[in-house]
Amino acid sequence: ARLELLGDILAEKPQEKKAINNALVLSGLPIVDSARIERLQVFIRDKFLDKHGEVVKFSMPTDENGNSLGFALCCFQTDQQALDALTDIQGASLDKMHTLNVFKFSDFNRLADADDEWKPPEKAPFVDRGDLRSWLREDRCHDQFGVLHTAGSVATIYWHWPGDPQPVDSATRNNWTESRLHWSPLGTYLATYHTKGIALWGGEKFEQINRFQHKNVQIIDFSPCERYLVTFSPSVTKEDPHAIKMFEVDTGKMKRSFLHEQAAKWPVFKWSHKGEFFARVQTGKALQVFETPSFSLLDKKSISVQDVQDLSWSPTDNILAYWIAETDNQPARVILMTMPEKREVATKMLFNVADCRMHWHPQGNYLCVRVNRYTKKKLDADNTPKYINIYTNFEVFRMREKNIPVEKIEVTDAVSCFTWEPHGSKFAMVQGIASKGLSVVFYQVNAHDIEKVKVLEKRNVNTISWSPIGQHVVLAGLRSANGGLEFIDTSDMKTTANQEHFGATDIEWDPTGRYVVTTVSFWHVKVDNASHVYSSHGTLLYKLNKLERICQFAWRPRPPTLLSDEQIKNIKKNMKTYSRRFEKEDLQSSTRASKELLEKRARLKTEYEKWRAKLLEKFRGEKQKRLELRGVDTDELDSNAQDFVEETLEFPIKVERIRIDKLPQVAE
Amino acid sequence: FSQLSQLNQIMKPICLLGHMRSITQVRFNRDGDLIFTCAKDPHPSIWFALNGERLGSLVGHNGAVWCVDCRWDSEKVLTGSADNSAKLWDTETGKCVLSVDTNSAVRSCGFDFAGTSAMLTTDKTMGYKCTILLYDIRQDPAGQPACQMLVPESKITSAVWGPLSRFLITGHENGDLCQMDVRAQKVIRTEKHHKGAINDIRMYKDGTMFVTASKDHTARLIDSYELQLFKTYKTERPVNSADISPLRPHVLLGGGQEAQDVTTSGAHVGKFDAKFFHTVYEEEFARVKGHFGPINSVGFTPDGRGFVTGGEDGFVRLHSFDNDYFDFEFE
Repeated sequence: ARLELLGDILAEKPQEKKAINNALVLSGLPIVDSARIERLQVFIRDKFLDKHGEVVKFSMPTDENGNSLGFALCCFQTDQQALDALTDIQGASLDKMHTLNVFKFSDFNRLADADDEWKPPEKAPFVDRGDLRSWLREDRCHDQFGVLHTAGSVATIYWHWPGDPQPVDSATRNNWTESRLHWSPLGTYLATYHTKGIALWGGEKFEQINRFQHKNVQIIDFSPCERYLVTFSPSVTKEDPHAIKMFEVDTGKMKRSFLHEQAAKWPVFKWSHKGEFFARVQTGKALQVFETPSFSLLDKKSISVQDVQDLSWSPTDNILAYWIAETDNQPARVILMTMPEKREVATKMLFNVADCRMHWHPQGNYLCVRVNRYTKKKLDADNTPKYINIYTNFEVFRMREKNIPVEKIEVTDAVSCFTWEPHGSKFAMVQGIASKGLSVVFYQVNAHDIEKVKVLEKRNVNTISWSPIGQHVVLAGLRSANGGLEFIDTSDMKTTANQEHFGATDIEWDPTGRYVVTTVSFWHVKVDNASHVYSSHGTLLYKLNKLERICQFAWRPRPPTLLSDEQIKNIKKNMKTYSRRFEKEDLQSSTRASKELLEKRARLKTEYEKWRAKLLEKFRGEKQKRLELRGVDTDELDSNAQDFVEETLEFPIKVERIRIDKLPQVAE
Repeated sequence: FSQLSQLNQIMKPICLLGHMRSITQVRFNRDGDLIFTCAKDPHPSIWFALNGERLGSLVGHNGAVWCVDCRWDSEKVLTGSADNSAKLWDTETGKCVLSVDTNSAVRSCGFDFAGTSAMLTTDKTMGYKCTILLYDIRQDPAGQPACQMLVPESKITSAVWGPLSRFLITGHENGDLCQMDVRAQKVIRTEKHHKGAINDIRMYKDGTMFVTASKDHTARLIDSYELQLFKTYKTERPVNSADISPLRPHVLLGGGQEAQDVTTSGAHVGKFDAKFFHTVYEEEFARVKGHFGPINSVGFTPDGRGFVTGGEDGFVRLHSFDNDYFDFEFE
């Protein structure tokens, strides 16, 4: 009995096994003779091991002649150091013919103990997921959207039939997600959060496609091709210290996991547009570019870049942009590099740089680097730089032109909300400070210059939301601002509508650019939770306010069109013939809808009249009692007209004051 | 919402400015020529509905006045107050003819159909349970209540007399709706249609059905005899008061955030709307702006040609409908 009580203390007793977790086996080493073995040892330690920690034991076994056997054993001081080393050097190449294969010593034991008899793996049964893209073939090409409501405890997916959204069959579920809803980038899957991990749902009936185990996931990211899912959870344990995990969506298998070392913005790993590469920055040191499906470093090594700060992929090409902070000897730089060739295609030197932020045009046509520059720099007591008089430069890289020329725009005011116009060549930003009045400024990138096309002054705006197909934009004042919404057609820079959704916390365009939805989320405001749906020109179409405590409204994304630019041009040219057909269909469906509505109302009316008839019967039956109680008939307002008293009230309509200076003489 | 635009005509409201604190109730007399208003200040007022001129105030209470009722013959007025008393007044002179003391604040009051009894409900507070009290007001002084009934669980937040005053219909803090036979000391029936406190109950002109206004953002149409739920009107905010038009199939709702929830949005100009719903189709078709705070009490004029709203901002607004209102039909 006493042993049970001490159970938890006993669990902490140092165990022999632990010592093995800090040992690594390095194999794949060249076989050298006794003369060169010492040099090899020093090389291995210097190049691969010493930088990860203290190597307390190192041994390279030899055969009876003193030749190495092709592997080595090493022990680090701590388990963490061994783990770091493993992650870093696994797969590193020594030379053309030798690649390091590293594994934990504890794994070795596990492999050695494996069954002698090989059992073939069981064939997994084929699960027919059905058509995961069925929603795209809806008759009228309506989109779907998901709403998380009732304070997050119920989620419903709707068909967006304008004015009358209909819930999708069997897609209203209680406790479908424990925190939020997340659509995959092409709209194929709906991801939901659970304590045990993430679940993906899809297909016509939103059945569960796969589950991914990761305790207490806080945030996720998909690769743009939807083949991979990246999850982050702050709950790490000694047995499982990797906070970031990468899964293959189709199989549910975890392909790789990573420690989360430094404070960073999500996503920590950024994906190339086809999902072939993902990369992260080791601030100040290197770029780590990994390739799929092997999930190992491209060319088996990191790209060492001193003082590198941040990276960003082009959304349409395998081009990686990164910037390097300035040092005492060297100015800051922005470099564009192709992958996997690692060829530099553009470089820009920048002087007096405090900070940089990269904004890619959604179609990859331009890269805008926002550079905060200073006029003076001081060093604080602890050597952190302090910048005085910051102004902003925007360096625009024209990606589709030969040699990628760069053009500069300077802005002296404070700047925020930089956004590119999708499928267009404009960009917009908010300039100024709130106390002096904010302005929204639009620029146009022309063939030979960048032109400031419009300045809209005194706008209380903190969000600029472009339509996904370009041309239309909404300037919104969300959250603490008043929910003002200004709809602008940028082809002529005219405001098409001014609306207001007081307290709106979020704004989202549908994937086709036809509708804009603003939502007052229960997560931020406890009253008036509703979503308002507007047309692209700003006409309020309808309100989604019958659902209680709406937390989140999310359109289902669509995959990019399969039509070529040529085909799209043809359709636009022949718009009249197409629209004639659709208008006819619209008219039919609206008369059908109004017919249905009329029938419904007629039914409700008959029901109500029946109910009232029953009540009136009771009422009439009690008439005698009523007469007794009051002595007069008061059933109607004029039932006791004989008791009415007529009263005449006089109200002065006009009061006039006339001044009399002298009283007229009165004749005696 | 195409119907909304039709009703955005300018309805000329008469503003009754007589109260320094938030309005708690507004009532009409049966004839519709007098308006009774009470507020969180101690002086309820009586006004002429024709032009908004004040007839006078009732002086005597020492605390917020929670409820007011006018007898069917317009001769007497009943008020209940947070000063632990209810008072009976002569409408014409404004003189207090009867005063009864209670153990706690009087939350609801009402004359019975004949006008010979008055019912009061009191709040649950410090040692005293929520109580229903019936007084015979023909006695002078009224002295002890003719009968009383303790309400053990959820306190009564609103109460009215049922048809022929055979029982009371009470709305409770937990959303319960009950029929109480006070003389027989029993609960005839309980229904749970609401999920939140019932802030107001208003009878239809013939007493056969009533509308409830609740903190759960809905108002509901219910029959008086069996408490059967028939219609539900949904909004985005707690509903403080509701009334049924005696003339057209319309229901009027007034509400807003609770006082303690009002944050910065409270300053938003005229944001608090009176909402009109179609009784049968349960669809909202119009909103009338004007109040600067939540609306606490609403009422149609007895002839259905106008309506009155009293708000947290202390204003009472009396509206007359334009001709379009009477012709307006749902397709």
